[in-house]
Amino acid sequence: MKRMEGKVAIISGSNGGIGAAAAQRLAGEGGKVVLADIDVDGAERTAEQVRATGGICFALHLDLNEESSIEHAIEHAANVYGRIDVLLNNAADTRGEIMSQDAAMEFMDANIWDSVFRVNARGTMLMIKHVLPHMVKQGAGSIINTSSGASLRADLFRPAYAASKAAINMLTEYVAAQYGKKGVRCNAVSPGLVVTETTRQNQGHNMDLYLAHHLTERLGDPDDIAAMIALLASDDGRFITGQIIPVDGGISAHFPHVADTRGGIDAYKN
Amino acid sequence: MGRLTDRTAIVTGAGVGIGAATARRLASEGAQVVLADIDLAGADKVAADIREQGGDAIALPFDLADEASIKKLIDDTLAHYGKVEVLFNNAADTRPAVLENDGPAMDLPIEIWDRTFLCNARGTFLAIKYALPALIASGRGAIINTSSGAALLGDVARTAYASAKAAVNTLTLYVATQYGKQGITCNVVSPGMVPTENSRANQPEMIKAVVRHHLTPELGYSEDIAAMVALLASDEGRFVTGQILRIDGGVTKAFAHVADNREQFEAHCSANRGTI
Repeated sequence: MKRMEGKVAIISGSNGGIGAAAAQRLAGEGGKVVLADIDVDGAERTAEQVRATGGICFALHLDLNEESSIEHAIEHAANVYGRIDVLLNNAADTRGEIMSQDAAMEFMDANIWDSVFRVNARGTMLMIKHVLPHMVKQGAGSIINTSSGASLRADLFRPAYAASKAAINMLTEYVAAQYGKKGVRCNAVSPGLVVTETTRQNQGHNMDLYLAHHLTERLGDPDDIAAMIALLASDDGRFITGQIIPVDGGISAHFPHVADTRGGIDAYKN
Repeated sequence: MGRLTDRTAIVTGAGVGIGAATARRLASEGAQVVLADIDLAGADKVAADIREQGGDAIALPFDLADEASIKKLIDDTLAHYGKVEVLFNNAADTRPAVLENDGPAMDLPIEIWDRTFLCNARGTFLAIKYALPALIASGRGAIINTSSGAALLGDVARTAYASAKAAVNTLTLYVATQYGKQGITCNVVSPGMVPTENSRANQPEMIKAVVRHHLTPELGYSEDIAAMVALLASDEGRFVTGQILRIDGGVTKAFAHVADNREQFEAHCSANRGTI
């Protein structure tokens, strides 16, 4: 499928995982892709992989902490490719030193909370703010935010991360309401446990546990998320806006006791 | 190679609208499509069209109100194609004689409620029940059910239709939970207003009244729903299950007063554009 021909996409957080898979996918469907990341060397490695398969792209530095960096990245992308049709807000601060301190509320350091919200929520908001004039002028655009299953159900760890993603969910609905009539759609994808280098580092010891609670036979792959992103980015998604779309192996679609009682289903077989 | 090459898909209610558009889309991505409809002539016409464009499709008669007919649809599909990987439960009893009498609760004849649940909820359940063995055997079965935004928010009429669709939504969660580990995904597509060609052309006032509450500039087309069904039916949807995917122009996502306040919002934007 070549649903992205003539379209330009900017992707934040593209040095690996979902962002890199989405870059490969959107470029593979004919789009021009701007790979933004605070780790510009990592983004450049993704860019080389995309070019190796015939895709058109370039990497640039983006620091979501700084509005000037955000403005510069978007202006630069628009100058190079002449337009911006798709914004994938996929970057989040997932560094181990932050995630490991985002735990029990009674010990929450306000600086950790602030830094998580500064990157994940404020950074995403500013990306949207600065891309909107381009999309409104074009009368068309698709904004896709990477959310998380953690924003839909409670967990024991990472409350700041989850709350910042919940902020992104609501922001998604507001942007859809405010700019839908101008031709701008805004949706979020909410991944389940997607196996990447980052999740291996942060969750590696728990993989079997998580798999038991997914309804599918396997955990997620970055390509699963990229496929939904490609639909939303393209005209195939033109009637979809304001949605938080779980691509999560159904982890949020059942009661928590299901894995404990799965054998029980056999008792009903006749 | 399409995403659905070598897959067999059953599409119920395939004679018109979303069912017909989806049958065309699945076939265009390589699927062998069984078009099931109570209106066999309608399904036949779409199937012939698909074949003319190089696709592989047959039409089969099917009555959602009749358990034997539903079982026969699955059996005939297996007899013809030998397997089935995709079941798109899209049929519903939407005849004007039913919908026009599906009013507010106090004025809703029980015959309308029963008929609606017989077709839309019971029929959908039975199609899933009889298709599941073959879907499980395929190792990559995908069930997609057409629901409606009416199942998510209240409205002044179509009480039975909406309640039956809510039953389909919950059935979806249960099937996803019960058979996921056997390779089954089960999801719902929940369309917003997708007007027929006829009402698009002849009821501009109705369209205008409805579109203002959608967040998109336009109402939906059957092809918009078909695009998501194609993803869910293919390997690209293998990690999506138990979901209600709203392809509805955001009509169920913003507060009801948004359309009334839009002018005020636009004025605020204009004023600020002047000052910034």
